[in-house]
Amino acid sequence: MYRYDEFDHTFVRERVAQFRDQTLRRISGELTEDEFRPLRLMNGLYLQLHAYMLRIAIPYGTLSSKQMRQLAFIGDKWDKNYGHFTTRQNLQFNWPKLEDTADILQALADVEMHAIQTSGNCIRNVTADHWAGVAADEIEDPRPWAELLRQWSSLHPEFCFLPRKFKIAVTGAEADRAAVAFHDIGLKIVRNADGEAGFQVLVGGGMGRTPMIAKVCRAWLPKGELLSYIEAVMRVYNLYGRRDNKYKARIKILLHEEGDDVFRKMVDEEYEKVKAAGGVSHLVPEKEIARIETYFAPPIYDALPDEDAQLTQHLRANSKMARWYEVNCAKHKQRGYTIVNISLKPEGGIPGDATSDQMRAVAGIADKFSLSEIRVSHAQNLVLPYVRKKDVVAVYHALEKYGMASANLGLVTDIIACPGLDYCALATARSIPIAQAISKRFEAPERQKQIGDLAIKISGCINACGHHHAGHIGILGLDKAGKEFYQITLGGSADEHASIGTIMGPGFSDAEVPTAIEKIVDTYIGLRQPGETFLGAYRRLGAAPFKEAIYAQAAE
Amino acid sequence: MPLIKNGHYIDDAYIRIEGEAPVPDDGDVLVDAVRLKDDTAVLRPRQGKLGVLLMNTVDAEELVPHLSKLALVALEFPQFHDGRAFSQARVLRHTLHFKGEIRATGKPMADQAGHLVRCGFDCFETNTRQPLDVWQRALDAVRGVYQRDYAGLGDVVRKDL
Ligand code: SF4
Repeated sequence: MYRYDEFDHTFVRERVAQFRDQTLRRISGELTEDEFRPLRLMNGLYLQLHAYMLRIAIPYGTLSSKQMRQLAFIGDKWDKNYGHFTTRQNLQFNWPKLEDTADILQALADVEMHAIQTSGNCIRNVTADHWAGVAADEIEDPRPWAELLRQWSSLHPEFCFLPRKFKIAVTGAEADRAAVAFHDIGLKIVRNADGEAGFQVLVGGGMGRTPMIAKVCRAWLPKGELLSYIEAVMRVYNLYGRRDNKYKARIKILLHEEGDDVFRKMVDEEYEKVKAAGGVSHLVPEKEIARIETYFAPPIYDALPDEDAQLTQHLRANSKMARWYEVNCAKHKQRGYTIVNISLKPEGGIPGDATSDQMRAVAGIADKFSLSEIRVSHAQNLVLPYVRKKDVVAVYHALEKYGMASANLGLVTDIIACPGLDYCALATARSIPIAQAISKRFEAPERQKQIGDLAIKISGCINACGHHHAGHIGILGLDKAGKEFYQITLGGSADEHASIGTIMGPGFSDAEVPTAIEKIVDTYIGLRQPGETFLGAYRRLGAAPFKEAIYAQAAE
Repeated sequence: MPLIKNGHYIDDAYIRIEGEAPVPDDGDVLVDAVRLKDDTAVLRPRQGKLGVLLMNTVDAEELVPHLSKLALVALEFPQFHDGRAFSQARVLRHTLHFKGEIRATGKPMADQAGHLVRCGFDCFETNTRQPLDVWQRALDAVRGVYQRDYAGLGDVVRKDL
C-alpha cells in the first residue's frame, strides 16, 4: 500500500487546519452558507435531509486494517456506530456535527486519509478495480497510476472549479470491474501491437439523467504521458464545457454536442500545445512513478500448492461454507491464494452498511489473514485480497460470527442501492427499503444459485448514484404527485461490454416492485438456454417477453 | 473594488475604458479585448500602458498578435465557481509565455488565492467582506503543491519531482 511521506502528511494536515478555519468562520457568521457551501463540499461535507453527511475518500478502494479501525473509531465517537460504503468506493458517515468535522478530518489525517474532493465540481476520488494487483486476468497493476492521479488531482490549481464533477476510474485487467466506460475519463491498461503496456483513454461516459458510454479518445497512450494528456482533456472541458445548465455540464454532453471527431481534435490540439510548452517535462518523472510503484510491489507470497487438501475436506463437510467459497472467493494471481469477497448485503439488510464492530472485525481478520489490507468494491462490498487457501476456513468462521458470510456475491441479493430518501436531500424516492424487500423475496440460497449472475441496481433519483442504468435489472425511484413509483430498466451492464438499460414501461408502486422483479426472473428462467446468464438471455430475447410478463401481471 | 497585489492593497493605475469610448493619449488604460481586433487607435503609440479585459468565453490565444504590447490581461470571474479564467491564465503563462500582469476581476474568492497564484494570476479584485488578511491566510494555508509546474512563489513542491 502507498504510505504518506513528509510531503503528503504536511499537505493533508494543512488542509485540515484550513478547513477548521473555514468551519470556524462559518460558525462565527463571517462566512455565509452560500460562501461556505463550496468550501465544505470541497472537503466532502454535505447537508442532507436530517443532518450533515461526511464522505471520506478511500483512494482506489484500498484500505489498511489500521485505517479501517480508525473508521470504526470515528463511527463510535462522532457518528452512530456505523458507516456506509458507497458505489464510489468511499465511506459515508450520516450523522456528524459541523463542529466535529475538523476533528474527524484530523483523526483521518492521523491514518493517512482525507475527504478532499469527495464532492464539488472538481476531480473526485479516483476509483479502480478492487482486485487490482491480485486478479488472475490482470495485465498490469493500475494502483500506482491511480495513486499518481490522486496526488496530481489533489487541489489542482486549474481544475477545482469545473463546470461539474469529474470522475476518473482505472483498470489494468481484461474484465472491467471498475465500470470505466461509465466515467468522465476511464483508463484501461492495454498492450499495443509491440506488446508494450499503455493506456486506452475513454472519455465522456456517465450515468445521471443522460446516461452515456464513454468513447475511445486515445486507443493507446504511453504511460508516461498520462498526466499531460489528461491535463489537455481537462482544459478543453474547463474552457468549453457548458455552464448554463447543470444537467448539461458534464463532459459527456460536450463530447456529444461537439461530436467525437471534433472533440478528439480539440483534445489533440491542446495536447500538442501542452507538450510544446512543457518539453520533456510533460512526462511523468520516472523517479516519481518508480517511487510510487515500490509501494505496490507484490508481497512475498508463501510457496503453496494450488489446492489445499484440508480446505477441500472442510468444504465437503460443510455445504454452506462450500457455497460461500464457490460464490464469494475469486481466482488469485498466486498459487495457493484466493481473493475473499465479503458481502455487505446480508439478505434483507441495508446494502453497503457496516457497523463499527464489523469494521473492527474485518480489520482483525485482515491483520491475521490478508497482510492487513482490505479493499472496497464499487458494488459496496469488501475484499480481502491476500488470503491463503489454508486460512479460508478460519476466515469464513470469523466472518460468520459478525454476520458477514452471506454467499451472494454477484447474485440476485447482492443489490447496489444508493441512500435514497432515507438520507439524501436530492432523493425522489426511497431505495434502501426496496433493496431490502427484493433481497427478502429471493433470500433462499438455492433459488439464488439457480438464478445465477444478476446485478440489481437501485437509485433514489435521476442522479443514478445507485448505477441503475448499468444494472442487469435497474430500478429508478421517482415521484409522481407525492407518491413514490419505480421505473424498471433491463439489459444494462457495467463490464467490458458496457450497455445502458432499456426502460420497460410505466412504473410500479413500492409494494409491486418485488413481484415485478420476480416475474422478470421467472421469465428468464423459463426461456434461458443452458448456461445462459440473465444478461445473455436478455440480449438474445430482447425486451418483449419481459414486458409481457410484468405488464400482464399489472393488468390482472 | 479594492485590488490586492503582492500582499498589499494597491491603487488601480488603469483607467477602464468602457465599450467604444475613445482612448486618451496618455495614462494606463484597460480596454475590452475585442477592440484590439478592429480599432487600430487602441494600439497606436502613446504614453501609458495597455491592458485588456478578456471575457471568459474567448480563447486567450486571440491575444497572440498583440501580446507583446500588453502590460496587463484582466480575466473575469462572473461567479467565483466559474473557473474558466484559471485555464485562460494557465494558457497565457504556460503556453503563450505572457510575462505581464494577470488580474482576477469580478468575484474571485479569497479561499481561491492559492489556485489563482499557481495558475499565474498576480493581482486580485476583492470585496470588503474578504480583507487582506483573509487572502494572505488562504495563500499560506496549504503551501504544498503536487503539480510541480504550477508552483508559485513560496510553494513547497514535492521534492522528488
Ligand atoms: S441517486 Fe439520487 S437519491 Fe440516490 S444518492 Fe444519488 S442523489 Fe441521492
